[in-house]
Amino acid sequence: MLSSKEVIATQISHALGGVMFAWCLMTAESSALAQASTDLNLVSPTGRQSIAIVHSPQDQREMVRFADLVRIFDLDIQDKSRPDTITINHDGQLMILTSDQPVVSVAGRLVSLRTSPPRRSGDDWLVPLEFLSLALGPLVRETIVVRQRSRLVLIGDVVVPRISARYRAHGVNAQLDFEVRPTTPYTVTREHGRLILQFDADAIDVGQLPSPRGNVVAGINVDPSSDRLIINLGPAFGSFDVANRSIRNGEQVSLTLTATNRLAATPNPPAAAVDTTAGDGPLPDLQIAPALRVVAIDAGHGGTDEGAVSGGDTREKDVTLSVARLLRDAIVQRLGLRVILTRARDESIGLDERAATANNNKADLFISLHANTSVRPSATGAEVFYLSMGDEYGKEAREFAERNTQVVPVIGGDTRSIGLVQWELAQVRYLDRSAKLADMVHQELSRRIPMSPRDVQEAPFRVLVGANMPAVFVEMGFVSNPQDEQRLTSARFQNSVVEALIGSILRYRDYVQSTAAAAVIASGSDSIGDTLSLQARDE
Amino acid sequence: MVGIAAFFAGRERSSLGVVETDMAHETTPTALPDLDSKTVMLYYISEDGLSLVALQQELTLNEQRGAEALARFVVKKQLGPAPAPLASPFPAGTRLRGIYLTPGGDAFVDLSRDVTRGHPGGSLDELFTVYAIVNALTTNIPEITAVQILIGGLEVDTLAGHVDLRRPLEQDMKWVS
Repeated sequence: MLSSKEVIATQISHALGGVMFAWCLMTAESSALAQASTDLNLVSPTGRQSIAIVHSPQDQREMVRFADLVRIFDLDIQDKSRPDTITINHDGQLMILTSDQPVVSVAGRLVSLRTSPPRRSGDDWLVPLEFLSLALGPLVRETIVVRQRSRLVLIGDVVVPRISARYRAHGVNAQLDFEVRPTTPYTVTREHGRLILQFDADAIDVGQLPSPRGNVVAGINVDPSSDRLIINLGPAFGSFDVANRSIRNGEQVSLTLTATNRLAATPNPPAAAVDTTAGDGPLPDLQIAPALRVVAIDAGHGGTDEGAVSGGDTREKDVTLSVARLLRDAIVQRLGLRVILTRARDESIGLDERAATANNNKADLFISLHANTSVRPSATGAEVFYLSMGDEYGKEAREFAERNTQVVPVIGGDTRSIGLVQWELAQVRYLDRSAKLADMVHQELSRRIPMSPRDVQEAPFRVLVGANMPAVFVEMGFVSNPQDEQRLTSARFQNSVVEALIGSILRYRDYVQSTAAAAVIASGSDSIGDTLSLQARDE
Repeated sequence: MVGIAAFFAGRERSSLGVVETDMAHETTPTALPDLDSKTVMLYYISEDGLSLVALQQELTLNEQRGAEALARFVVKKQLGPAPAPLASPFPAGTRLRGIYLTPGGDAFVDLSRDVTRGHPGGSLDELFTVYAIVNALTTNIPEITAVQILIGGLEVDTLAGHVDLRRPLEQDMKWVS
């Protein structure tokens, strides 16, 4: 006799593709014939529920109680007068189960159950796990997938990535690699001595986790209530970087956790494999300066200039400022770089002033954030631009540089010719790097948020012209599109944009470092000439 | 340039058939043969809002014109309503205040402030507004190689905060599908 142990606490009915689920919070008393072992977690777009897995008394197969499914899927038992047969009605579709028969009739079609037939167990019935996908799914007209190993049942259109983790120690530092299949948007945040890897998913399917017990990583676990991976940080933790790379059917998210400088700076590093006695001259200095130190973030518009405004009163200037602040915090906390905001509050700032702020702070990158609008509400998606300097700009800049070449002394007694570029045309020097950066931003955004069908574009955008560093212009979406507008104001979307830009900055840093390293190796110490630049204001 | 702009402030004429001949820096109009009827290419926003669409339109002129007058015809036609299902890249009420051609092939197009006041403000639509004018003039009038937009008789930085309007812009067909 199976009876309810707890009263139903709440009952929520959701329409899902024509199926009514009655989620019932209940636990069932163990049958005298079957012993509860663990839970099966059902995941649908409307929520989650657990039911017990029991073992069949006949063959110890893993089964679930049919009564649980009746309640959860709101099934109607039409006929249970015969002891060995039960008839179910769901929206006019009939299902007939016969005890100990491995065939179930579903809407007039016969379905074979390979692992175990339905079993009668007192007043209840037990059905094998495959019954959910093979018989119950067709009955309720919903795709049901059973992941037996991870005890998950996926109902309908849900996102449940499989995640496996690997831990590697590198001296005092550590690296955590998470293979995520399929690729799923995520955020990494640091709070209260933990890193939280949060996926934009209905649930996560995590395999066995490593058990690091180091000074940088103290442990990893899954937060079952919110499907987050929690990385507990050790006392030596200093900072972390996030990197992504594509793998088959997904991506690998790598967290590099670095110990504090105090611990990382070991006083006597192991003897290097460098033979200092070899050769006649001194060894070349291969040290490379950090590729990025300062990032300028430009929150588009502001003050009396509201930018694009939607019918729902979403204002571009608010969205850009919100994302700029999030991005600033993420860069500072995770990358340890200095961040300059061209505006930190709701105020009017001129376009020249924005570039000047970046230039005067010697920013290495300039990222201008915007939200779009269109006369067509259907226009949707993010876009990435860098500056187009047509023949007019290019000719003007080139002619100015030719007229204004100066010879300056350099260390060692030599001289170097330097072409001066008008301050307001500073970007002309950086078009190639801006294009590279724009391409990286486009790729990183594409993996996380909806994009416009247009590829990376060049445009004569005023705010970029005077930027004396690689510069990109990002339109995050259209406030004139209802779905985009909803996304633009959501924390989840804004965090996805931040993650994409963090990823872009990391990729760009790697690109610059590898380019600089190649230049150093190719030309020894005299390798920074092409990075020298002087700016002159056109008075 | 401000002097030029100030000069043609308020000189707009409503009739399409009037030729401006009293401008201080007027160049000698280039005679164009058979201007009674001319097919021109104009630019409107596509149905999906993600590009400009080039559309042939018929202009009917009632007397012999020069390049500058033809430019005036083209811009006024371009500022007019878009044929369905396309959309105009210009806010309603945008008017042409004046137009001026230099011997070097630059055209200065002075639009009323409605083009800024009524603009929705998106960068893509702003690009479409600018390049509809630039492309319409450079594709239809060989004498024009670049176009600078003035607003209310003055040079401006941008139209809606994005596109640099401080210099004449050359034709750019990448915005046209």
